[in-house]
Amino acid sequence: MMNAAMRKTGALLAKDLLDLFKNPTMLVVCLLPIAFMALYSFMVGDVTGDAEMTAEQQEAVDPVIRQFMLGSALCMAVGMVCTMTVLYGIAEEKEKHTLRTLMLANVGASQVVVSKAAVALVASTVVNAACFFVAGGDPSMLGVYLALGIAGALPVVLFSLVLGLASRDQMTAGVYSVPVLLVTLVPMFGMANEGVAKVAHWLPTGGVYDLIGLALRGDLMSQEALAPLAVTAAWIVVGAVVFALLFKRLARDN
Amino acid sequence: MIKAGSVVLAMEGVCLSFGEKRVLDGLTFSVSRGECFGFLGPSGAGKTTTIKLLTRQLVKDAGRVMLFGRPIENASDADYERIGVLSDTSALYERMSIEDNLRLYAKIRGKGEGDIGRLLERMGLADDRKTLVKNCSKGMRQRAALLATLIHSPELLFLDEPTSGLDPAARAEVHRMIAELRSAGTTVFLTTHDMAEADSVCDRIAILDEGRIVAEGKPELLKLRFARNRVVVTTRTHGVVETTKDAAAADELRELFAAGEVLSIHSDEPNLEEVFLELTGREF
Repeated sequence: MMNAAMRKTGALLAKDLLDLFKNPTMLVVCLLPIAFMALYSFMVGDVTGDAEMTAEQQEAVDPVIRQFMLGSALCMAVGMVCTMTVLYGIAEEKEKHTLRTLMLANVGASQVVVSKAAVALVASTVVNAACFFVAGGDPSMLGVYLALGIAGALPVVLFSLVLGLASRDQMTAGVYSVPVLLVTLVPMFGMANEGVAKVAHWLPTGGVYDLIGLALRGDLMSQEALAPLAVTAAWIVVGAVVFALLFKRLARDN
Repeated sequence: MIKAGSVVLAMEGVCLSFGEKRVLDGLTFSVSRGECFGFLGPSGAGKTTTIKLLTRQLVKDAGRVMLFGRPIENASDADYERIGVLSDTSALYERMSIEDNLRLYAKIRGKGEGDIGRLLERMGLADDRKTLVKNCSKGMRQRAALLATLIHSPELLFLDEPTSGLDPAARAEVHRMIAELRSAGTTVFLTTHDMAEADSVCDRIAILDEGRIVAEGKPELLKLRFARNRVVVTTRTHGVVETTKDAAAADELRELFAAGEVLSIHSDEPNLEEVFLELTGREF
């Protein structure tokens, strides 16, 4: 029984991973955060390289900019890639009746969900890694950065799974994805507005955004990290609870 | 009473309602191993709903459903591995080739890929094996979906309108395949609204109307039971004469023959559509 479930999940996983390259929409969504980071790097380079800045000003701006760059990369990679691969992926399967066909071939909804979630995590991690280098991250921080990326992606994946199962078709998925995407991207704009910054700390990617800042300052293991860690953990728990409560009801295609 | 043993599938007094509307009303039938059982009826009669009940997509309100000799509520995943279902909406992945789709389903079913080539040959899709499903015609998609359903050699096959939208050649191919499956011992539960199809491929049929079975039996026996007992004679001078197939009419026919009046004579054989009309008073 376990073997059959593993075999089916493995088959779906291979199919879903390959589909990332065959589906032009998914491919563009995966390339988009990298393209944005390339653009941001170009823009930020102009600011930090300002010849009129004093050494003190430069020192003060640098960590903020670096947190913004890596935090934004993470928010975009998680928000765009996870939302699209999971939410649209499931919605497309429902709209084109391939999900029903799988169910009739004795594939369980849980196997479909595990495959979609795994593909989203793998894809967002790969995109995160690419963004990290484009954003000029220090290679010694890559492991921490990717781990924070996965932690930030988990609640987004869980909510996207629920919304994907609730979507009738890709059109509905488009509507459902907007709030998830917006909420995920909010921490990027914290630097521009104090009010946004206050709210951003409490959002699903807000915790990991703050943790990136601490990691850059070498304070990841300090007491300061407890609050953002708690926020991140709380969102993962909330996502898991919502998913557990709604999965059975929503998993029944139709 | 549902009989044990060779009965693969059975329903007894099964009812199902969607809100106020009763869609299945006391369905009772059984299907034996190796039999091709046709479930006929016009659109909305309850054919697809019945298949959904039998494949865990819906749950009955009342009655008993048996699958492989046990109540469907107790059917295990292993039981469902013995089943193949081609639904009216079965679809393959459009960005994958026909062959890759079959490979995927072979993996899902835990079967080797050895049979894929043979199945593609058998269904006339060998030359199109590399064609992406999105570039396939409806007929090719339907045949490919049928192959995906057969990839694990199921013991019990549910086919929901398998030839709908197919051209005559593709329909004949599907009919040939069903005949081969039957001779190999596969039990086939086929829904169709095509009476001629049911007549040619099914061992037994049930005619469904508004959620109730109005007739059940071998197609030829049903046709005989509802035969209109009519002979149509075209004569030289009296035009078309209708008579019956009994002893009294024989004398009349003999006289016409003796007078050299008969140009043609036809026994008016009923078809299943006429059986349906006779049973329900409505056109199919």
